[in-house]
Amino acid sequence: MSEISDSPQPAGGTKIPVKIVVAGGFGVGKSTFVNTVSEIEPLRSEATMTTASAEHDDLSHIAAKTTTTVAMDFGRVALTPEIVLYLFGTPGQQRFQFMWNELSRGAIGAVILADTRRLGDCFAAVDYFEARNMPFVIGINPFDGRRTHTIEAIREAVQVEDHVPMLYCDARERGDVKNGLIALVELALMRERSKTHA
Amino acid sequence: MIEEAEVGVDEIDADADAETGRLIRPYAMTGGRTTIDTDIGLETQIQASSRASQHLGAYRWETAKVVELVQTPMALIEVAARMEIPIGVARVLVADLVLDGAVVLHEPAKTQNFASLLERVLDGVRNL
Repeated sequence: MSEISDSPQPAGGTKIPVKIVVAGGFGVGKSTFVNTVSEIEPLRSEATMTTASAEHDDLSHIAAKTTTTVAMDFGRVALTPEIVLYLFGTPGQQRFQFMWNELSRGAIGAVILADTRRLGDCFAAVDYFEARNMPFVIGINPFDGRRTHTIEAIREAVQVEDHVPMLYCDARERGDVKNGLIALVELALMRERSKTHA
Repeated sequence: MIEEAEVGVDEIDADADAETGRLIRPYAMTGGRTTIDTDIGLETQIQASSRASQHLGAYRWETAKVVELVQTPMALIEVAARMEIPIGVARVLVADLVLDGAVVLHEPAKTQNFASLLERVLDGVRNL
């Protein structure tokens, strides 16, 4: 485990932080993805959201609020001497959307991981980033490394448009993770350029 | 009234510290505040300023710990994780330090040409 004292960095160097969200269903490999490229031991952080829940209040007048705690894993890697990339693995369930809002603010975009055995788990994330017009790519994390379906077949199953990059992305493989990140940044750059030239 | 409440919190801190050092409820650190005007992004880099040492003696342990952590720049979320406190609590502690001038924030460059930043990011990712 990382201790507080284990990260001596060059003093005085302020870096430009950029971030990429790694989304997807429970257990799809988000933390593994982050771990594969992070240069620090991935850290876990928690955010809490308190919501009034009057409708669930019938049995007890004491518990008038529910607190949702969401844990997310994150890692970081220096891309250049000036730029540091933060990767956030975030839970995919709809009820954690308050966290997605926070995470996606200022993000380059998202790598949405999907598992061919449970493709439906990625729909919430796809809908979310599509609705906000944020760049995203879909990485198919092959269970046990077996690439049993063609990307075309998976694309048809998930019903995402052709312009959304989709690729096999074994979260344990550095090369695959890197390719996923490259695909996302290329997409974001392409969209940014078309914006400025429009 | 407010002063009394703060004394109470300090007493809780001291008692918890004496026993295990980790029994303090996170929100006691911030006097119960979890929202503030300052909107610090998760990846915003926090760095101790040259004035930090002037204040250090007056800070409670958790605030002093933040200052210690950010002697070299560190993202808000990393401060929260390393201190094992919720992000909202870390945000309040850091915001107070900003008001004191003890830390400075380095926000993601918003004015910079985003396309040129992305080009550099792309080069960096390719070289991973």
